[in-house]
Amino acid sequence: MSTTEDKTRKVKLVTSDNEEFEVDWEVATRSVLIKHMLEDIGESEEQAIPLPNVTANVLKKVLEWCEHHRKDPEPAPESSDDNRKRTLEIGDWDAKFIQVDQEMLFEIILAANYLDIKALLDVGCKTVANMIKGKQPEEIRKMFNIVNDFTPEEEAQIKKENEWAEDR
Amino acid sequence: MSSQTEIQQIMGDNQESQSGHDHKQLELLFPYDILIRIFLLLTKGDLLSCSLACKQYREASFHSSIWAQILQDQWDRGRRCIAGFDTPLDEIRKDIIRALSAERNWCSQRPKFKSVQRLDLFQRHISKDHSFLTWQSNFISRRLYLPLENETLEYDIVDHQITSSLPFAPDIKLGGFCFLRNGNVHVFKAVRSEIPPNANVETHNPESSVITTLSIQQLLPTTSQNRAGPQRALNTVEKCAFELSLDYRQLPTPFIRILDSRMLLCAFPHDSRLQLLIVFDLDAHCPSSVQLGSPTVVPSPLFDIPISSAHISRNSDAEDLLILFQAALLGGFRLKYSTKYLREVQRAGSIQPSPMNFHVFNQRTDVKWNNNHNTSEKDLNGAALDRVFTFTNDYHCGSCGLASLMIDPANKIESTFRFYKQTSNECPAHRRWHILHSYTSNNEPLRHSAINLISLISPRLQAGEHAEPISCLSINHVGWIEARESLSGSSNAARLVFMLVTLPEPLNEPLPMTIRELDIPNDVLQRATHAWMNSAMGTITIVTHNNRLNVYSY
Repeated sequence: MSTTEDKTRKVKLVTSDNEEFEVDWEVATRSVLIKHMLEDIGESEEQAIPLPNVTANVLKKVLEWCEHHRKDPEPAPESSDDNRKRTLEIGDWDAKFIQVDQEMLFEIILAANYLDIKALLDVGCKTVANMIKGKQPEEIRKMFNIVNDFTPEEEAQIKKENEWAEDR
Repeated sequence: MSSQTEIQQIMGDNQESQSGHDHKQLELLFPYDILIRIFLLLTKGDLLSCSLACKQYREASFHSSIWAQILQDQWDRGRRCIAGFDTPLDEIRKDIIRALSAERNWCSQRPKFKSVQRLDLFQRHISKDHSFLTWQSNFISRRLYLPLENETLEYDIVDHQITSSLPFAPDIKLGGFCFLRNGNVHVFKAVRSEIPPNANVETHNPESSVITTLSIQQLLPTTSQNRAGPQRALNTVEKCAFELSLDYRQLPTPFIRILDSRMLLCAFPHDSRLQLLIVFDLDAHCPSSVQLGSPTVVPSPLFDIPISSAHISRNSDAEDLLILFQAALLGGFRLKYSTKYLREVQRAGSIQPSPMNFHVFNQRTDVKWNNNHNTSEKDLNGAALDRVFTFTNDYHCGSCGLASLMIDPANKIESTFRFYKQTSNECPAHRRWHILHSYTSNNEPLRHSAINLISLISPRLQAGEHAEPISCLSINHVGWIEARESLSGSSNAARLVFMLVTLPEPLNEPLPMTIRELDIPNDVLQRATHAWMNSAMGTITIVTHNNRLNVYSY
């Protein structure tokens, strides 16, 4: 599938709000989802790929990332070793890229998940993890606007179990 | 896709409810799998904070993959644990919460102490041949092996006299052990008998002796209502030890560790195999003795490892195996789960330990660091030492590190400690003992023996105005506590400085350290030469100078 022809080939992507993007094959196939779809439809057709879960403004951002990382080596298949090397460090370019409002961050993560772009998903998750770092439960709720949905009984029980976290 | 829709739904609902705001407020509820991905990146403390935020976060924070990774991390940083095999999440969480709680308390401006009562029960004579190592492992085991039991179990063990002798110290008595439990003093005696393969004199050659039976006998349960109870028990233990040392001193040494009041570990080379016997629930097994015959008829779980290569030093391997198991248990994981694991290994017909659990053991087989009491010119990694030393002792704590005490034969007064920490995060085959610090002193041997590895593997050994660690501590999931004697102030107003060293996350960051200077009652200080903190849970033990051991619990 990956012939030299592929490299120059253009791919059309259509977002949920019906905006069409034309990008290089190499950029589009950072997404494993799109790559598989392209494989499915074959080379002959000039068919646009529908992305019903991604809006134009998010896709634009995601493609920006893909463009920058177009030459990156193929991500290695996930292994347990990878998981072990946990680090919250994010590359300079990625760190700048991910400086977006929370809503966009959230959307990028969802899109990266949907489009199956592991490296971008990692950047998003690390960013969220960094935001959580050192926060108390109440601060986490506030930050993500999460509703405390524990019943008073549950909360009492949990507080008891987690004494350390409550009054640290 | 459905989760996406769901999120949009949630977001939509939320937008509606927040319509009055300029800034759109979204309830950022991630799909479950993404949440787990994020949580995998968090430290334990942050993870626990998240679990308190809302139900979805709580549920995700309990996901087994996250906790499997936490265990893996523990493993990678040298807390070797036989865990992950059915260890209930609750148990691990509780341990970790307790550890974090202790850390927070310790780091606070005014740490709360449980009590400051003196525990007379612990007062007993100490002497040079009753090593602090013994005491310490005793204390550590008491806490970590029974972490969720009734508080009084903390003060349960009267004594145990290890029945093993270390390869480099064959003079240590073989013996029995006793402990106080439920108001009774239980005394046990380890009895070994041998049937030589051939009835001739040569069978006393250690290499050809065969251990055929090993039994644990309960000698007496006595009431401890009066003070004489424990003392009598101790005397009995000492008597057993003496008898056994006379009878069996020529045999290859089985390495026996009494881990707590319910368990005994014994490892020994036997018929070209290294075997590990674990006797559980001593109360139930004794006085009916546990017989060890051939591996096939042993009622208790037995780890049976072939000794294949010629370079394996069988005695030191037995010791290693025990250390490893002890370390596994010190990792905070309770006996029954380790047991379960062992049983499963047995059932599966596999006698080879899994590489993950035993690579340290395997890797160390060619290391001669504790190879009897011979002079060694090489260090743990096989590198030549610049001077000829005799390895006289070494101190393990868990298996995260080791300190060796070396005596320079040319200068009997001066002794050198070398502190090693095993390098981690590397391929098991390439793990090395990394020398953190080398320390030479001519202080009295007793002082050395009180120094615990854990405090010494700290790269900040010579921290600021504080003297060298005089003792130490205990390690848990968070870090360890060490005690130092402060040099500040006048010489007769010594001050004990306790430090909590927190393991950094990630591991390659500098070690954070919180220092608390505690005022210890003057009368204690005057006499204190050794101190250690039993646990990160806040118990501080001070060993005083006048041949008495006093325990203070905070």
